[in-house]
Amino acid sequence: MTNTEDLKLRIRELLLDLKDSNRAVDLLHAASNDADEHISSFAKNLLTMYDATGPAEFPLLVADLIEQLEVVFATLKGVPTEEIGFSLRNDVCGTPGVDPTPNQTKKSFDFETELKNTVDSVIALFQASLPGKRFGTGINLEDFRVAFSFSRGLSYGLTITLASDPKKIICRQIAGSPQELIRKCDTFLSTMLSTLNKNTVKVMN
Amino acid sequence: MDLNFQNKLIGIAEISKYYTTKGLDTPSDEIDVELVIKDGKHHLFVLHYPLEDKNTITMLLKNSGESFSQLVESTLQHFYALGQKTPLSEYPSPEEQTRWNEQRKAIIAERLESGDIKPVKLSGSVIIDENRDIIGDLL
Repeated sequence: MTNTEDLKLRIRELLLDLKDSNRAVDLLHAASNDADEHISSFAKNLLTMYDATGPAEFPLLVADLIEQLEVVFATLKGVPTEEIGFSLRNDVCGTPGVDPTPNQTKKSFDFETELKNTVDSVIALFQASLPGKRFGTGINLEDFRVAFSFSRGLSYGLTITLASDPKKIICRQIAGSPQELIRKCDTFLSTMLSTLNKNTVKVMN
Repeated sequence: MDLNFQNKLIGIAEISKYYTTKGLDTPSDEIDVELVIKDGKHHLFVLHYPLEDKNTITMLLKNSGESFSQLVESTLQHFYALGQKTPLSEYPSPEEQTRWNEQRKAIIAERLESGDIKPVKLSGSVIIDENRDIIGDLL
């Protein structure tokens, strides 16, 4: 079992190195071959994000990730990684170990449903990461503030913060289209999940 | 016509731009539709950000309801109803345009008085501003 504190430290170090480096790709390739499967999986996800965003936007994305990870990591103290994964499987996917959407294909993009699912997933991720809060008995939707913004200039944004401290941002994404917004949130979620538990990512996929 | 969620948002922004205190100069300005869930309650705000002074922001509507879907639908219907009070033909004559503008100004004055339209102290979109709890100013 990976020590969560060590994992947090290594991920934080990797992100800080990436933020200040002009050799992000080299760093990510090296990290994707790391002996720790959490680190290698995280780096592979970041490589995918790098390919999607390009070198110019990537440092901004890393800066966002650092901010978002710090909030989640601050709540993770002492939680074994495998417990987080188990809780996530229950909260996010229903029955443990059962993929809720096998072979399901999407016929069309329903923005509202996608938005709701994204919000639910981000909140479930955060709920599951809180020590001592398990199986929906802990914090609820009421503990979060969810803000969705549509601008006539055609930008779409989603920000999820703690209701008790609105400056604590759990997730913030801005995009040029609803599809891109959901895709960015999905990338954020899968990155977070792979950080916390590689097995959970398998179930989610 | 059965509009999807995204097109309803666009509809709200497109109609509400005619019901700001700036009147016909508004179309080039920014109109945002902000949806917020706080304490389990859903709120919708329609905000007008003038291009020449982004700090002079006006709330064009605040609506609360059970879900994003219901809020977006009822807000769209609200602005449709305003539009129906001030009909305009496809190719209006100058006289018709003047009359339309006068009717619209009367509606804006009424909405200002009732508090439907009011200035808000925001320094940016609720999404973009990173330094202030600006949603707290609205709720």
